[in-house]
Amino acid sequence: MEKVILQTNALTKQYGHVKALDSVSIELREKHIYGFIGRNGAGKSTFMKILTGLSYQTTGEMTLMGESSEKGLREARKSIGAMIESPAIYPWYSVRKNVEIKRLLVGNPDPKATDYVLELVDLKSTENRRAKTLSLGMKQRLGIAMALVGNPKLLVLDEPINGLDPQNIVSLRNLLKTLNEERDLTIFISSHILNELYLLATDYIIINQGRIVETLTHGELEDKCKKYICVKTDSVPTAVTVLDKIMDTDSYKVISDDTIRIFKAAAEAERISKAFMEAGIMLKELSFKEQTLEEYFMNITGGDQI
Amino acid sequence: MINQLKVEGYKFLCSIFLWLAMLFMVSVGIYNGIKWDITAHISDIMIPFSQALADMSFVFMPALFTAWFIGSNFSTRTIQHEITSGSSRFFVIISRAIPVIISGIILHAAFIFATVISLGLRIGFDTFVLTSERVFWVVTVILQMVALESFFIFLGFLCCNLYVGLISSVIVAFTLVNVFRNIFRDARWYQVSFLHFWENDSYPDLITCATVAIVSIIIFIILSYVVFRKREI
Repeated sequence: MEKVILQTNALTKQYGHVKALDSVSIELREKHIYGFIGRNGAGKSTFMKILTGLSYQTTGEMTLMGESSEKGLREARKSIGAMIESPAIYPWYSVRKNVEIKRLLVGNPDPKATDYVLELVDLKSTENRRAKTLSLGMKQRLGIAMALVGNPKLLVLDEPINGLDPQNIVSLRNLLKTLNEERDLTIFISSHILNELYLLATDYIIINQGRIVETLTHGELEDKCKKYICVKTDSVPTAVTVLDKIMDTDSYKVISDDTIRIFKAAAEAERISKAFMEAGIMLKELSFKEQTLEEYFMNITGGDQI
Repeated sequence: MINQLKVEGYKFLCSIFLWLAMLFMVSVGIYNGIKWDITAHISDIMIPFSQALADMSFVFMPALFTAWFIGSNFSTRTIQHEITSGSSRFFVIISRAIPVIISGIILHAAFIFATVISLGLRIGFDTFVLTSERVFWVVTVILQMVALESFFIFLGFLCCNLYVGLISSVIVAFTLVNVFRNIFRDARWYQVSFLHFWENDSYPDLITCATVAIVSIIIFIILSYVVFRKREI
């Protein structure tokens, strides 16, 4: 089993009476890509700031690369590359100079590292441009380049896809996957674009109102998001009675006045249809569908928007 | 720490603000030397040298540079890079303190030397004599300048914002130089503090001023660390 890179135990951050993080306990293992999912204000950035030293927890413990003391955490952070909120760039310096400064700060002695990361994020052709003249997407890529120049073991990215066009989103996804596969880079990434995280992450951590709601692997999520039968009828109460007789109560969910979702029953469509007909229930629709990550997220957080 | 100093040193040398400030101080010094009435004063170049050494009229310039040098890190959020890379907050302060202290000394020195050179070209440099007392006096004023810069460094980390820092430093510099000087001119505590550059080469007073300056430097660096240590970035 892979080594634990980060472990938090009951991490809490309080601002006055408001708990931005409430007893957060998670574990990150090396070589995984973790998708950190939550609404605006859920606590994602707060957690990432504590992880990277930009903020401090009110209570709770954090162990990073086996270190938990303040001095040890500072040493361990030398192995982290991070981009928190928006990219922090030196606006009056060139793209190249920005990366060079970061390379110098993190103590990477290899001058070729600058060229390497600029090639990786496709900014080599604009390396002499002043950073303040870059578009938002290019600034995002510059921020990622600065996070990578120190050869980190853990890459922490807070909403890195914001501002990227579809082509750049695909490029970034491919880049992160390549870095994870070829350099064993552990990635901890938060995003609102859940479908994109679904394509990238190996594990998911869902946070809501400062609390971890669920952690699951990609396989477990696929299992939970798998196909269901969507039944639309005007006789939902009668249909529910029929379903209670023929299957487990947690295998279905009433979505609205005329819609029921039946899970774990993809192979039983015929039996369900027959049971409804015998009970005299008129069906407006019976179809197979899949739950997306977005729908799953909204179901478990009880919300209607991210 | 060395890496941070290299980066801050590079930013310091590339700073257009610093070069403009130096140009301003040199220009003012040259003007000071040109307007010096050599008929009304004894042609001793040490008199304008002494006056320039103790002149606090332009402390707003190093104050502005300090506020800008520290504050811009917060407005661009580039200070994040050092902290997320594992640098201690104390070293973040020191890596900025060293260049801004050097800038304060350089700017004040630029003013003094521009004054002396522009006047010296008129009356000659024969009277420019640095005795040991005067050297100690220069060192003491440098320490007082460093103490004043330490105060502005503390202000910079207290504000943690470029525009708030700039406005605060101008207000504070103005208050120190114009208001305090007029109100507390004869007060002993004011005269030996870092708020006032000592005006003669009397040894006992210089030792007092130097001691107060050193203590002030230590206090303001510690206070800077106290306000910045747990600050949310």
